[in-house]
This record gives sequence, structure tokens and C-alpha cells, in this order.
Amino acid sequence: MFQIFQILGSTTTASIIGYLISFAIFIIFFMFWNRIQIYTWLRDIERNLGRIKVVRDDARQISIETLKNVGKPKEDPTQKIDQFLEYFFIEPTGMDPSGIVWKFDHLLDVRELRFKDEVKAMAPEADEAQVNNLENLLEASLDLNMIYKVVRHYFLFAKRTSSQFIVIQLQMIMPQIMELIDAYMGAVKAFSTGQPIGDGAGAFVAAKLMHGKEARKIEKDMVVSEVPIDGRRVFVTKAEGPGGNVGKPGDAIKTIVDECEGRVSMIIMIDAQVKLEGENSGDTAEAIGAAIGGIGTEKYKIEDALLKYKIPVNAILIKESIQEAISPMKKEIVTGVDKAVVAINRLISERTKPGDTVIVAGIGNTMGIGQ
Amino acid sequence: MSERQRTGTGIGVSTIFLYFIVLAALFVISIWFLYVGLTSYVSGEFETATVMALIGVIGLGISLIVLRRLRRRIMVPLQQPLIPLNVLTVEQCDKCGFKNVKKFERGDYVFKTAEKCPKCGTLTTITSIYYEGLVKKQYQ
Repeated sequence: MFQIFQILGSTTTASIIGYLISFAIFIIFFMFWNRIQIYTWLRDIERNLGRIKVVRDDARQISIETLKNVGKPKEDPTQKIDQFLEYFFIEPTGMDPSGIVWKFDHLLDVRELRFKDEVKAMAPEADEAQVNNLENLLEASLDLNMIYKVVRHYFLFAKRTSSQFIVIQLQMIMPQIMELIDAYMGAVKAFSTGQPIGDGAGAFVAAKLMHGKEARKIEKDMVVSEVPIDGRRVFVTKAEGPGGNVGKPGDAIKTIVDECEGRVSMIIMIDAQVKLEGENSGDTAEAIGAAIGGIGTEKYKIEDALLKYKIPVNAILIKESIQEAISPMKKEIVTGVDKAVVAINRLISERTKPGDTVIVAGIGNTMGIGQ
Repeated sequence: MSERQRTGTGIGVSTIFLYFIVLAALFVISIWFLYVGLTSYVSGEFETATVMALIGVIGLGISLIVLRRLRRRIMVPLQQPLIPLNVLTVEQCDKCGFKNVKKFERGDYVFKTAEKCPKCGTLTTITSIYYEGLVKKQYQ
């Protein structure tokens, strides 16, 4: 061994130690680099999982406290809430896609009815708006619970199988998940107090137009007002507030179109749009088409009604991030709402004639927004 | 997992303790290498002094980086509890235009009839509810 170091040109103790350490490090990294990397990623995921758990537990606790404060239940609702947080939705089969929209629509109605019944049973003193808010709050807690369980599942599975590719995929989406977790926590706080959220921008625009006019109920959880704008007959519709509610805009638009026997010159839809990185929150954009998110059933109904009478549809979108959409409404989004109102007036005067009928639909969760 | 649940940090108490022992050992060894390096330098063995000092500095660097990471891992969830957002309610008088911005209270909603206007006595309306400023990252 000493001869090897003599060949390498070093015979002092320090040089020998140096060579040995370098050689050992080289061997360790050469043989175990993958394992070290996987271990580092797993530790990172585990740390984030711990944070998700803290958020999930906080959301659960806030749900229990809010339900006790608002609903004044006679019994402790903790056990029922824990049971609620385990609910999930089974999608209808897509093997035969024909009629799947109506299957989805029916199952979503059943789900909503079941959730509302559960909340009413847990919070007997809550009024209709508070029941809607509590339902939204419990749904946010349910989503957090589901995210935690799914991340934990993949983490434990990756750890058990030492699968590099599962770890990489989980590590890659972790920043997005953590941002979503933060947003959900904002949503939980907003829902527990009934504050308007960013997603309510469309409903806010409709409420601004409807304010001071008589509103009548139309379809499930939807209201409509007839508002004269620039000599046009404008039907403004939104979900019924101020409880947390998205309503059924598809059904509402279809009913209004049928009431007008198809003589509608234009439909304007206002909704929140997920902005791209670099875009400013509260900026508005115009689009053509039905601007509505969700599972797709409401969009289908609107497009169906449009096609039947060949009604042009325009959209005004208020930009915001996915986090802002489910967190309490930011001031920039309120500014965006004012811009959208101006854009609607402009669109109506530019694209329609006096005497025409126009439908304006404010899409989004109307929590904390009346009419 | 129960131990981790108690700490709420994703790592258990025993793991944290083990980390600190390993770090302390690494720190002491690094200091010893630096000391040997210094004595070698004084006695004129420059080559030995350089290698020993290098090992000592690398060891110290690693222990400090790991300590900083460990501290962040333990402290972040504990230091950043739920911070309520400063949500504001704007009340406006339709008649005289008086505007009052107050802290949001449970039960406030947009277009709710609010308190009387201090200027003209007409009932005011809540015209918007929003929060200003950046959201504090709570769990990152």
C-alpha cells in the first residue's frame, strides 16, 4: 500500500489521509448516489407531509369549532365530522359516454342534497346561508383530508418499494400541492366566517348590476333580475347569496332563454380565470364561449341552449391565481370586478341594439355576496 | 408515526436527538482537525496543515448547513401558527357618498344594509369585502 502512495508521489501522513478520504468519497458517491438522492427527496416529502397534516388537523378543528358556534348542536359533532371527512364521490362509468352528463348531474345533486342534510343535522340552529357556508367549510376540510391521504399513500408506497420514479413524480408536484394546501387553508378561514372568496368575482359583478333591482328565484339556488342597460332588456343571473353557493347557472340560462322563446341577442358570462405566471391579478380578458368551470355539466347545458337558438356567447374573465380563487377576495380582484362592469356595458352597447334582450351570468361561489 | 404526529414536524423526537448527537460529533471532530492543522502549520508541516484545515473547514460547513436545515424543519411549523388575514369591510352611503372602512365581522356580506351614515343619517350599504397586502405563507 505504501508503495502505491510512493508511486502516486505522496508519502506523508497527510497526503495518505487525503487520498484515502477522496477515494472513500468517490466510492460512496459512485455506489450510493441514487440512494442518497432518493433518501433526500423522501425526507423532503415527509417534511411536507407533516405540514399537510398540520393544516388538515387545523381545518378539522376550525370546522368543529365553527359548527359548534354557528349550529349550536346538542351533541358533540366531532364524530360526525370525522365521518363526513371520509366521504368521496364515485363518478359514473364512462364506458358508454352517451348520457353521462345527466348521470353526473344527478349524482352531483344527490351528493349536494346528502351533504346539506348532514350539515343541517349537525347544525340545527344554522339558517340557510350558514348551512351553505358550513357545507363549503366541511368540503374544504374534506379535500384537505383527501390530499393528505393521497400524498401519504404515495409516500409510503415509494418508501416501501424504494421506487425512484414514484419519488421523483411526488417530489416534482410537491410545490404545487403545498401552494394548494395554503390556498385551502385560506378557504377554510373564509368559509368559517363567510368572507367572499376570489372565485366569487363573477357573482360579485352580477350582484353589482342587480343591486337595487328586484330579484326572483329561478331554478335551484339561482336568482335573476331584469336590469335596463342602455335601452336593452338585460337579465342578470347569479347564485343566491350570501351563503356559499355556486347554484346551477346552466339551468338558469336555459330557463331564461326558454322564457324569452330564444329571442336573446347575446349571453355574457363573467367568471374568474386562472392567470398564468407573470399576469396580474384583477386584470380582465374577453373571450368567446361559455366561461364556466366545474365538472362540465353546467357548461354542457349552456352550450346546448346556445346551439338550439344560435345565440352568440361572450365572456369576461377576471384573472387570479388558483390560490386567490379559493382564498378571501383580494383588493385587486375587487378592482377587476369594477373593470368587468365597465366591459359589460361597453360590450352591450357595441354588440347589441336598443330593445334587444341580453343575459348576463355571474359565475362563481357567491359566499359573502348578496344581491 | 404517532411520535411524528406529536411533533407535527414530519420527524420524530428520537430522530431529532440522533441528528443532534451526530452533528455534535461532527462539530467536535472538525474542530480537532482544525487544531491539528494549526499545530502542523506551527511546526512547519505545511502540506499536513493544508489537508487537516481543509477537512476541518468542510466538516464545520457541513455541520452548520445540516444544523440550519434541521432548525428550519423543526421550527417552521411551530413558529408560523394560523395568522388571520386582515379582511376589511367597506360601508358606503348611497346618498352622500360617505365611506367607512372597518374590520370584517362575522355576518357581514356585500350589499347588506349596514349602520346609519354619521353624516346624513341614511342607512349605509356594504359595497365590498376584501383584504389588502400579500398572503403570508403559513406552512412553507
